[in-house]
Amino acid sequence: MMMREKNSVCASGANIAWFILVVATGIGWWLGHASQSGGQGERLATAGVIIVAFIKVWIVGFQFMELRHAPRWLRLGYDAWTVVICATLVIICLG
Amino acid sequence: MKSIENDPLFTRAMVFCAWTGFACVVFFIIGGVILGGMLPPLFNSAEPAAEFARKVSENAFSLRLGSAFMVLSFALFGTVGAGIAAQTRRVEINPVFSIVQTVFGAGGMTIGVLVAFAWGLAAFRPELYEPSIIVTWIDYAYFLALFSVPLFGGWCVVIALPILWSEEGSEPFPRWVAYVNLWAALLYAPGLLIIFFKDGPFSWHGIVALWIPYLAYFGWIMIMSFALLGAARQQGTEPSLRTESA
Amino acid sequence: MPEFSTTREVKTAKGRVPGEVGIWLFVAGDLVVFAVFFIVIALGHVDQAEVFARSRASLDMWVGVLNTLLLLTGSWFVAVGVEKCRTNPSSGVSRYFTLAILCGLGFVANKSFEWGGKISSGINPATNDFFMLFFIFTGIHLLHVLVGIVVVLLIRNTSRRPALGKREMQTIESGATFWHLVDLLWIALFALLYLL
Repeated sequence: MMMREKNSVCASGANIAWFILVVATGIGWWLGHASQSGGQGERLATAGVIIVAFIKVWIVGFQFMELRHAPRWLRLGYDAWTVVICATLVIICLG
Repeated sequence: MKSIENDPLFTRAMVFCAWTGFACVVFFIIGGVILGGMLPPLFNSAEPAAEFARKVSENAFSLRLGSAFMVLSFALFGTVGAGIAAQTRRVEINPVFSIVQTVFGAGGMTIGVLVAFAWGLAAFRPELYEPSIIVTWIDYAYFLALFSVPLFGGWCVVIALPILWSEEGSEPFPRWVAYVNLWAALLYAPGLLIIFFKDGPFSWHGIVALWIPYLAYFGWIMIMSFALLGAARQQGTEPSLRTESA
Repeated sequence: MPEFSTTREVKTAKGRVPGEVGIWLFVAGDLVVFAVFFIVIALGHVDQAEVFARSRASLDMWVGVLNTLLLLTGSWFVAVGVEKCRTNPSSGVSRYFTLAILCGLGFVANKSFEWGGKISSGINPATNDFFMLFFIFTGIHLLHVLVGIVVVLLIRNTSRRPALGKREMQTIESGATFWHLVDLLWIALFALLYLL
């Protein structure tokens, strides 16, 4: 269906975001297999799973929830939550 | 709605209700947190009854005094709730939600007072009670507080709806208060899980089923108390110079 | 509606809160609470590594991936629908929201199959701590999805009105924000429950 309307900037922003999110889901899936199969890269894959997930979370906020056009305090609040929780989870899982 | 310009009693009454909310939180901190061991939980749902009995015996006075402060705290749910209903009533032509709110607030106050009763009873005659009776009183207290989600959550919903459904410019409270109420209702929801778990995060001593609803609830009391102060000083969005239409 | 396209294109330093502030209070609150959930899962992953790893292995990863794709696509429909409400409201914009609702229903159906399969093979919240967290947290999220579907229905009805003024756009944007919240919470839950 649609998406010939390239004149609408945000519609194509949504397209790009969706595409990146789907690809990132695939990357996460692959990393998930890597982290569960044990071996050397397990810790890296575990961290990767969490980091990729929170990149996706950030993109949903930035693009779909239109934080890119929101006041700074709202943007920064969301960015801060994303970074802090992601870091906390990585530290717990690897620590 | 009627202007409150020449109604100093309204302003005083609202300020009174707001301050009972602040007092409610303070009394809970004294009674439930410091003295009574309700939060953080002194007891653990998974422990044997003998442990409950031992803890009660060792802390009997503190628990009894804590219960007294808690009953004071929880009785004040009524003044906060009635204040909210009174403000909601102002924007209604034919009252409905303010009545529903009064009913839920009265229920909430009653449940709260029972919580404090049960807590006190657990510590009243520990030498006489079978340990399992003591466990029952503590279970009862937590069930009253946490399992009553439809009541406390429902109360939040019937506060939120008249705000969201009001005409722009005549909301009883600012719209963000409605969203806080909906969020609080959501946060109480895990309280229903305590019936399925005796240990872990979803039991009555757990981080999800105890801490989140309690923190949300007393946070809600604080926020609504500030909202009542706002109503007293007309910082809601209701136009101050509007007079009663019929 | 011209007033909206001009507001969007003017790059003010202040920016514009999507929807209304109240919905963001709700979002902030939910983010804090779900952060607690995420941390509980991570702590379990560390404390009971073997139980969690074994239980996680019995989950169907593709079911989780499908659910993720359903919600991502639903969010895309909602985002495009909101944009169309601003620029070109009359051209059947409500169908985007209908499609988002279908994505949501697909999620619910998929999750029901997944849970049904687990329960009929004897796995339930009491089986072990992993499945306790799995069922409870995905259950709480499922409640959000159900509410989200109702919210998108509301947006859809609003979008069908002949004129979309400031109040209507506010409702639509606020509802969309809630839907995207549901999506992003699942993204994190999926990673922590299925992929770790």
